[in-house]
Amino acid sequence: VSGRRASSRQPRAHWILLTLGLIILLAELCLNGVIRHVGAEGAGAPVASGGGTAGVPTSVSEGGPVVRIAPDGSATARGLPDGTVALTFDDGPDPVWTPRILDVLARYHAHATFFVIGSQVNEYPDLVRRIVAEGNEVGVHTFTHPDLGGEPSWRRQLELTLTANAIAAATGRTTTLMRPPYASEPDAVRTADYAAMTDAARSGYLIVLADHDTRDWAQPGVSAIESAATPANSAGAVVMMHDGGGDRSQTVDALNRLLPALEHAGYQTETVSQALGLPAMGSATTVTRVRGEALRMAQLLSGFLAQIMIVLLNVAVVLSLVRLAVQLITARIHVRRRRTRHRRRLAYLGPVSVIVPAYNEAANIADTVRSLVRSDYPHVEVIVVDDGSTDDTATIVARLRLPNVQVIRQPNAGKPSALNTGIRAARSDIVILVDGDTVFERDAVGRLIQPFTDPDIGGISGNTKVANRRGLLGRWQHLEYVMGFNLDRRMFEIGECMPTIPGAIGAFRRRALGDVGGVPSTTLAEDTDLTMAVVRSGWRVVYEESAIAWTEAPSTLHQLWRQRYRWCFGTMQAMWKHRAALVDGGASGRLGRRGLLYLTVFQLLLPLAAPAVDIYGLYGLLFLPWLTVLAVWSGFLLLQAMTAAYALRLDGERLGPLWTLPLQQVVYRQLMYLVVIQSMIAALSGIRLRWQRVARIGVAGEALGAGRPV
Amino acid sequence: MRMRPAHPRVLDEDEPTVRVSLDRDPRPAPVNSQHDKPVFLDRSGRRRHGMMFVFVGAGVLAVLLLTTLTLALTGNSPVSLPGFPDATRNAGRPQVAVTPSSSRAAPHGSGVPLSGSSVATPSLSATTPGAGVTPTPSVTHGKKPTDTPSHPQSSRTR
Repeated sequence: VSGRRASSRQPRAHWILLTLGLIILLAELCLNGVIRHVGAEGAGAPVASGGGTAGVPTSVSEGGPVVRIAPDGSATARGLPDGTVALTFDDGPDPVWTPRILDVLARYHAHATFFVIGSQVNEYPDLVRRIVAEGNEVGVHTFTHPDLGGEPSWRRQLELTLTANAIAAATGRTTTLMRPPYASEPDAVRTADYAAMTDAARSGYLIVLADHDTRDWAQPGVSAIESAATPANSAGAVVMMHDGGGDRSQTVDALNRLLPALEHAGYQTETVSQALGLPAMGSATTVTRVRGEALRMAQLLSGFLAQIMIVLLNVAVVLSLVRLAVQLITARIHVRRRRTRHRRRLAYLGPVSVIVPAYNEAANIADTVRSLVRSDYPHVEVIVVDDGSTDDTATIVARLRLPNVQVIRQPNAGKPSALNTGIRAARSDIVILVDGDTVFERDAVGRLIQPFTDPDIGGISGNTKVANRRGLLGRWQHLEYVMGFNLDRRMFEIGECMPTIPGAIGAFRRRALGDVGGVPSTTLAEDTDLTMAVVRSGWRVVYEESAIAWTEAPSTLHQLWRQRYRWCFGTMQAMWKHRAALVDGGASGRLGRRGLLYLTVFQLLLPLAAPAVDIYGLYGLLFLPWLTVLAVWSGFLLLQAMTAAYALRLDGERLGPLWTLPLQQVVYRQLMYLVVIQSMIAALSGIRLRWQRVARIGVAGEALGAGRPV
Repeated sequence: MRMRPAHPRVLDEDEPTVRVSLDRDPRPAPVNSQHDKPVFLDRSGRRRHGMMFVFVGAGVLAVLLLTTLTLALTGNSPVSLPGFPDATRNAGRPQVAVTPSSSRAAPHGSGVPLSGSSVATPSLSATTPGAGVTPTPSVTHGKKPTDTPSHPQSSRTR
């Protein structure tokens, strides 16, 4: 096939890029999911991590709030010297409360220690710089505030490393102080907490617990916070407060009272390191700072991408629902319209010429021609145009010796040329164009042309049905034909914007074909191109669902891919060729602003966005509660199944194949959108695509013979 | 034969249409678009060339993003665990330094970490506190549950 040479030049690089892009998207979404605690159970305490205290040395549980666990496992705990208070603030930085707390500290010339959350540092690096610039100290409070006791060791490690890198990027400093999330006073340390503390110590951190947990996060009132923070008898103390995680106005007010009171009582208010005589924050290595900057960029990008995805999903859902509503409404109108027509007797509209372009259709051509000759319409002339077949297509037809069947042979020149040859030879005013692999029902010709009783109608689309419905692929295509193409066509008729009369079964007035100069050959979807031209020249085009033609659908994924590649690329070509319709008036404008826009949105843009939606689904499986995922999924499927059931009923089909609908989501859907991407790249690259034939085995005729699809 | 009269059984309403169509030359003009080049085809290859640049650009961007992600999420930069300075300022509370395996040992007076204490512990369990330790219920002295601030993320508004 001529397409083979061209296909060797198909671009491929975009597949690598797409894969990379999707991996990056998934990674960024997951990063965002971890940072935002997507799917975590709302507010409240974390699950208690190990109730017992076995293994927690008394040196810790009965010791001071600053714990050092040496590499050999020995633990030392220290308290602050008398007359010294180290105020500590957790869960920040916070854009509202951290600056206010810093203002109060500055007013009383006090310094404090801020245990920051790494992801917050990345969001507000300026605040962390201000914290350090004003003489305060920064410690690690993990990256996402998980309960470390319940996390595996690698996660604990990661939480600390990422936060240290974030602090390094923001301030250029390192810290050796760490406070585990949900920490309190030393006697509250449990087995799992201690294991996490040991891990942190192995990374080089001193653990800072508290002497006084003010529980300010519960907003107990300004006085309660103040009294909880005040040490007794001039004893030294580490005081735990919060500058993030919620409304901290009580903390700010309490601080405004506490600081003068401490000053009055002769207390030194210092950072933890100052109070213990530890070295100040060191300076970070360049590598650490670069890693921190990279982390910050990745985090910002992940937040951005997550927002984009939400918008994208919402737009897609709304568009799909609107389309569904429009489809259902227009289908009902169409059904009513047809019911009126079908009550009348079938009219005789003069002789009809049927053109069958054939290129190597040996498998099906005899069935096709016989089905046409058997038609119950009185005058049917069949013209088979053999487009330089290398098999014996023409001979098969000639040997049938059927009346009113004419065979024209021409050197291979492509399907449009074959169709034009046939049209030139046709003697009737009504021309039916048929694919060489299609088998007509006996009444199809008569029913198909009935709408021509209306002189404004220039083209009619028949109803193509999939003959080979064995296997998943056959059933999937059957469903797609019935619920996609057929519902769409009813909608297009009502909207007067039919973009495609399928090559398998379509009728045209000869005059309409003359108006547009015959079948165009500049696109691979000559049927779409022709239909658009006919509509734009002012003819009405309608859908007659009672005229049924059986077609043999591709039976392997590879063949389906080639067929859809041609369809998709050809449709894009036709859309581009007729883009002027967007700004035209009248019938052409209706095609442009309804049909072309519809195709652009639903056959181009949404499929192009679909891989990202699939990645979001994968992310949802990983992060969202399974019940939510299940609910969304089944809601979506139910809607689809109901639409499909309605469409099947309209077409008089059985509901049996519906069970394959959920499975469509895994292979078929991907193939359908990947083909759009491939077509898009091919179109942009300006490469030459040729007809890619689908190998036939000849089952369309069997379908007719059996009266039912195989 | 091309100019056959309209079929007698043609519906009245359609007859004028049919006749008009027969009066004109019913043949479609030879397809004028035959000479046109296929839509999208770029014989010069310039667009294909341009796409290669786009691909390379997108590839560089993808590699940059992957590198950023890798840099961001990997690499351990451990800090060295500082020791406590000699407690000259420290008069607050008794210093306790005990290895996990002898958690009931007497408080260590100096406050200096017991660097030699690991000698007294089984070497394998030294780094995993609790591993070699029999749970000692008597140690639990009125421990209160860990105070847990409400989930900080839950009240954050973004």
